[in-house]
Amino acid sequence: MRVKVLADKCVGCDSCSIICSQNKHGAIRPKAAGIRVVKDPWAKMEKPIVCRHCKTAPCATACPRGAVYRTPENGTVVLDAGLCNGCGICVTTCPFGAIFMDEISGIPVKCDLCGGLNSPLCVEVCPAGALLMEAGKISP
Amino acid sequence: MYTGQGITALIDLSKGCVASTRTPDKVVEKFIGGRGINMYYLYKLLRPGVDPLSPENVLIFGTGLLTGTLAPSASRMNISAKSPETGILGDASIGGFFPAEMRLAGFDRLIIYGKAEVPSYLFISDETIQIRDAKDYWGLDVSATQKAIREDLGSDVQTVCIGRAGENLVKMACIMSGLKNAAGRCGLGAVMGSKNLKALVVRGNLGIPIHDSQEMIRLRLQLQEYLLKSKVVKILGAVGTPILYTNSNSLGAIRTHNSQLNTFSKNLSAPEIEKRVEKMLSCYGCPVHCRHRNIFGGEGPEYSTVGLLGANCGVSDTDHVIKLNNLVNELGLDSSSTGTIIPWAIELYQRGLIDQKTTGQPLRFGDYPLVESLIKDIAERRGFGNILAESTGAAKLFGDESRKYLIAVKGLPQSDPHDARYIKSFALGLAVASRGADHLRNRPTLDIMDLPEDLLKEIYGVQIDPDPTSYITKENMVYYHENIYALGDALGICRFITHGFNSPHLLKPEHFVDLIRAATGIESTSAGLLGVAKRIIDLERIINQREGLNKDDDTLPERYFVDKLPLKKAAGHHIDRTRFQELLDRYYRLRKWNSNGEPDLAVKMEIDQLGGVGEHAG
Repeated sequence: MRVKVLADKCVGCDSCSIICSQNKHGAIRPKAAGIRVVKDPWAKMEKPIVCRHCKTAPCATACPRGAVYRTPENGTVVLDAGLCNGCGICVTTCPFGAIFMDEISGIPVKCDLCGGLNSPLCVEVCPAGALLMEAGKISP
Repeated sequence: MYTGQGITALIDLSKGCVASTRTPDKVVEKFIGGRGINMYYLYKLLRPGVDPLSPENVLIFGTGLLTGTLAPSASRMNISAKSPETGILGDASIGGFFPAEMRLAGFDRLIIYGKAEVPSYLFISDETIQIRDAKDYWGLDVSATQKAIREDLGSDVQTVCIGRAGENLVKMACIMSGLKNAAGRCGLGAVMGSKNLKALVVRGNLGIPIHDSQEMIRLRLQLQEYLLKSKVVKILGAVGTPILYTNSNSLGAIRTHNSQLNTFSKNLSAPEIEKRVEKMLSCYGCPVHCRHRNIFGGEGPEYSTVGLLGANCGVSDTDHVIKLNNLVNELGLDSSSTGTIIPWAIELYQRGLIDQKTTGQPLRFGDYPLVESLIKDIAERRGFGNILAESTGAAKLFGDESRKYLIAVKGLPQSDPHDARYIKSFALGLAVASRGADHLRNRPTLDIMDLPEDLLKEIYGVQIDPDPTSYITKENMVYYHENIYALGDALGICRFITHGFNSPHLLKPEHFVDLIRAATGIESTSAGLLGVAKRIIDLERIINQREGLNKDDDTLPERYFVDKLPLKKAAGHHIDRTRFQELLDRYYRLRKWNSNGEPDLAVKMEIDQLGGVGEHAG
């Protein structure tokens, strides 16, 4: 499963990254969320960016410490902050720019589908139907 | 300190220094945040009688208690100062993304005074504030300013800024953010301009700690589900506020031709606007998405702008009205004041009270190029525009008779395009609103929605006369709406999800009790929160009376008393002076004010006992 983005429907409210950061950090820190909406109102752009849990995940391949890996239970690509040393290679390797460096902790953040839930919080909260759950894994 | 409380920063632009403090618990308890705590500091820091455009004026940017949290539509802050447009308290709310970002950077409130030597901007990042040179941005329009700032500082900053109108100290200048978010009213953009302050730029990543994270998530999802089922939220999300144009127009209560007429073209109805909208957008964390991206490169228009730059100026071409909307946003002008002052001048010209020696050209309604050029001249203070830039203050030059035709209260042009001669609760609301003729302080309109009497009684706690033209019981409506909206402003919550705003549903104080507990750990009650709201309104009254206002200022535009509405269902309606006065007296009694409209001395003493700001600053 992965989150499918319909950018045309995105209203740019950031509710997805707000709720994600609330859930991950117990605090509101949208810049350290697993989903980010790249916006430029003058360029008419609202584009949610979130991990696609690629079939062949370059981030997992690149991680020198095995901190990014696919869970055997549901195939979600996750990042184990305990194993991570903050080198950031996953951030630069992701072809979609969907892993974000948390400037405060120095540890990257990515979508883990809220622990493999069928309906992650970002999908639940999106008021515009711009985020949907979709089956399948893709190659970058 | 409560969970998530940020810094209150004191910024002296004259000395170029910044100090940090925390707002004391006892002040938070009495005023909550946002507009409430802004009023507390304004009361403490503003010397009565001060020139609003002098360095002595205090400009406060104050986020609400819930701003930036998962509470729905908690995107807002209030900006407060003494208003150069009215000479009394100035206050305006703004949404968008700046207020939440300010809290993410660790700041709840910025208190700015003095005047920078050169054009400057504030750069705010995690718990730090720098005063920087803004010479590269001075002279730029609102979008150009923000684009340049994004280029220089990164695309993840949020900005509030002034346009040319604020730089030129136009008394109806806004403080703007993004393409159209505006702290629109009371000329606060001119206060920024007078301080040589072009912009505030913030990038925050410290975050907002939350008391009970999982409860906050649960409440958000639950309340959002409830809100999105509401009819008014669905309509706002589909077409935005222009839906109200048809309501007012079909009743015969749209302000047009400076309120000489009361019905206008269907071209400005929501379906026509919608044809020119590419997408609806939201402010921070808001499920409503009521903001339009229009096809002419701007955002909007709202109902107020459609009504005032359109109908009131006699401009009926939909494209033209949207272009005027985009123009005032780029220049940083309040569309409500601008769209009241220009039609006023046109009527004065038609009546021969001013002539071409003053105006420089003939003035007539329905002349789009004329309105467009006057807007530009106002922002640049060119020619006749320099006179109109004084807003209602232009009456000093136009002469006393001109005041008969001025649609303003307490020196503030009326914002809502709704002619208040029909709905009497609406009229009272305009007369008593603390910043002047403004609908966002109360907008009591539920009695025109044909709601069951039982429901009205349930909402207001007393029997309400369901006839909107009746003066009886309408003080209760204004009282209720003022209180709950003051509470919303203290929390940073948008009107559009606050109970009573064009809907008998939406979020009530009991919802806010739950959200406050989850976000901050503060325990409250509905009655306690409404007590805070009443205190805010009392304090605003005290501030205004300190500036010289009295009960005679709780009035309406002369035309509302003298002229009857001419057309449609509302034809024949006006405001009866005696019955209005009786209604006003009942309102005073409900507020526990004396017959002169003054709050009890005990309220002032209670606030005075909270101490001075000096001791807070440490």
